Amino acid sequence: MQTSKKVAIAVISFLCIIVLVSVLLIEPMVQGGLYYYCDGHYREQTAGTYELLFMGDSDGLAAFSPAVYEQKTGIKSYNLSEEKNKFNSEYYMLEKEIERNPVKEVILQVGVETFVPGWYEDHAECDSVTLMRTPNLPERVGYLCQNVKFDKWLDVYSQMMMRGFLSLERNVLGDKSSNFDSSAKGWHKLESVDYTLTKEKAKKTFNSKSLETEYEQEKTDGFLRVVSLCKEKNVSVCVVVIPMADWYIWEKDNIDEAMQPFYKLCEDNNIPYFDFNLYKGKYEHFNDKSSFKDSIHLSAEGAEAFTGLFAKLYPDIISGKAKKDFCFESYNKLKEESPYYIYK
Amino acid sequence: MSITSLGFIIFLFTLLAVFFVLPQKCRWPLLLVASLFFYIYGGGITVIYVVATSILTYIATRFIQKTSEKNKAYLKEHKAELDREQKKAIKQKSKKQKRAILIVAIIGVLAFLIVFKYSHFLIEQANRVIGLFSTFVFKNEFSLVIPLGISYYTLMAIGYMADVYWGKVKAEKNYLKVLLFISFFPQITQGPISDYGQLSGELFKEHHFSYEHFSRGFQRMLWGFFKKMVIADALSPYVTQITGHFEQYSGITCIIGALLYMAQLYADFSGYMDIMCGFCEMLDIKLAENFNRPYFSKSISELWRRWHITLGAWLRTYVYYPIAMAKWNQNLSQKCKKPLGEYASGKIAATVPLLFVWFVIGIWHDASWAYIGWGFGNAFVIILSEWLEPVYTGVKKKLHIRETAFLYRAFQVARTFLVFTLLEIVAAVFAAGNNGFSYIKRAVTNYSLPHSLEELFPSVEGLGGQFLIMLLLALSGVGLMFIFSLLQRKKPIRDYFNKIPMLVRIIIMAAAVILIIIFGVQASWGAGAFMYANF
Repeated sequence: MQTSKKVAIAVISFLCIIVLVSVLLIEPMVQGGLYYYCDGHYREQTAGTYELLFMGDSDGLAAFSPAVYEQKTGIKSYNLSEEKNKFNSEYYMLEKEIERNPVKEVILQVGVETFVPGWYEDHAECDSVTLMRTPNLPERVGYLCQNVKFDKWLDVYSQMMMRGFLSLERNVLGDKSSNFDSSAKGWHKLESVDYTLTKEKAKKTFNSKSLETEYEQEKTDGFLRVVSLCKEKNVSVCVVVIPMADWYIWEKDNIDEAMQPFYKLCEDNNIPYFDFNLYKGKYEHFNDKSSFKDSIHLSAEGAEAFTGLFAKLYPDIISGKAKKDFCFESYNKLKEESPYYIYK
Repeated sequence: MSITSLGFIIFLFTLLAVFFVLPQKCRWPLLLVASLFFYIYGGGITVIYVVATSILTYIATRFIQKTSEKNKAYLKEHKAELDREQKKAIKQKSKKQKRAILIVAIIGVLAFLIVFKYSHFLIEQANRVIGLFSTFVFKNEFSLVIPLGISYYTLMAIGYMADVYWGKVKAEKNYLKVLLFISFFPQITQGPISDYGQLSGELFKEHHFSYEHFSRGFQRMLWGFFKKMVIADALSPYVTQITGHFEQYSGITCIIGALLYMAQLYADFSGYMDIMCGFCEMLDIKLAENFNRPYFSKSISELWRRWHITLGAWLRTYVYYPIAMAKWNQNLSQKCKKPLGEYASGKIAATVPLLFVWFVIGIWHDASWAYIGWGFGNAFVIILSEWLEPVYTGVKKKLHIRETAFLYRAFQVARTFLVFTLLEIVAAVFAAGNNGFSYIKRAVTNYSLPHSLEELFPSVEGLGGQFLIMLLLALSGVGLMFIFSLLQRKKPIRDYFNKIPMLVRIIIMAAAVILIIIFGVQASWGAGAFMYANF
């Protein structure tokens, strides 16, 4: 057979097999019950029914329970948060969702490490999740071309193929725990893990680690871009820092320094914000025994308590009263009230 | 540009397509453009050092060649007039001139390497010595960006100049061809260290596209990507965790760590070779081989003829033989004959150059005492086995051991692998800032049993979900490497593979690509660059 013909047949067959396997691996996530794709379709179907959106990363994903929020306030909401989220995908998701479903309010969640360099950012995990939550192919292609750098495309493809592979494994094993639950409205329920420190560990770990404090300009710009989007769409925005596990705060010697730039950023741009870690009633509502899955993710019990508390304090947060009257001055002051303080 | 990135793969296949579309005479210039593009993308402004090295090499070789030709022409012209002594004197003068040019050029080329790679080390040692007598210290806080591949292209430049000096090859008249030889991108970051005669024959010949080259080359590239990404990168977190925190783990875990390190090292380095040699094969260019089933060697000296083959060949040609044949070495050997006997004096003549070679190998790998020590460790093993050869022969005779017996050969292979592993792991642990000897001590004296799979294979990421799958895949890959090495004793594995029907082959290769994409891409995130690119 002519060389070029043979090569052409081999190359085309090879590429066809790869495309076919790729579609088979990625497609079951669409047809199967897996969360991401179903979330996109569900939001399309229920467009126009929400008045409030929660947006953040995995901390926010675990923290805000729309069902509890609706129970407390009567306001229908959706938790649009995403694991390993970046501000450009937050912008994209919010823009699309607000277009589809004009809302009155957006609650943005940030954390101690939101604005500093994160190791996971190099590998486009967030982009692959955003792609999977985008309900149709043209939008996915658009997102890929506009928001993902070319040298990350292979990472995104690898992520999606890996998730497809794991999804296939779950389907074979009959594991439905990662399936979409429409009643949760985007909220991810996490189990509780008891992280209560012993006396020895509390003594050993007090102020033993430091956080990165240098904010990346790209991230602060991304954050302000998201806030501007909300303002352009006449959507009021409020930023919250959700509660972190006490043991995590206990071991960090510079949280105040790490959070100051964020507080200043909000104050300089007139953005209402509230750090729930500084809330004076924190220890009444949250404990290391059952409120957390890990250092920064609330468990289901913690999330329900938090959402209820947030619903109660929201008007005071917007008015500024919460910050004035209900807060410790600093994390160092918070530590003095910590149950671990007696071990210091 | 990372070799395992999408951008690089697109670069390779675009180059392949354009290469065979262009007429023959435009192909090697295209390779030069691609090499410079690759270098500038990865090394930035440091391309000027590659260019400077190539200019120096070109000028030196042209001068050496011209001196040679001028001398020959003069002798030919005045053949009748000159007597034997006069001809000898003219030849000697010419030789001295060529040698002077060669030495100056080598010093010039080495100067870049010494400044960029060894200046911190040399200043540190100088400060240590001076510190014994005075409080004065040289400042050692400057930072230098080491030019990409400087360790490799410097050796190639020196080799080429020496070959021209010895008359093995003629100096290339076209400077751009010299630049291509030195900067050829498939070999610049990790070798092979080619000699001009071999590589120029491949780069500047007529290249023909064939299905066989295309498919075999692609198969080899794929295997290389599999070794690098699915095996080496997946094993990396375990090796890093165990060697970095070995005090926390049991002896068995330390042994596993050492074995995983050896698998990672081989898969990483030979994986790169397979990728580049496979790509060059697609271009109808044959690069020199760097590996020949090294873990099946029966002695350390044999291993170093099968591991990083081109480095060994380079050192043999340009360091070992010149020192072995040097008058001072011969004189030393002669002087030792009377007091030590003929056997010892003969061994000394071989030992002295070996020590030089292993010092160079050690320091070439890394500017650190860990690797200098590693080099001398290898030298010690080789020299000891050379000196004790008559003792071994006597013992084998007394015990009636047949050298061709399977058990004896298996013993030799296992012994060699063990010694090589010890040398490598000690150096690696020292280079990482820990005590390599303590690692070995822990491995052989701690008998506590791990209680879980996670204790046996500890890593920062933990061992669950996709990480368990990646580890199992990597270990299966190691098994596959072993089987392929056994099969390759008779013929290349691709000869077996190409007997399978084409469609089945395509399905297997497509499956390999998907495995690499799913697991290899993610494993490579944490692992970083190729290990030998650091040298």
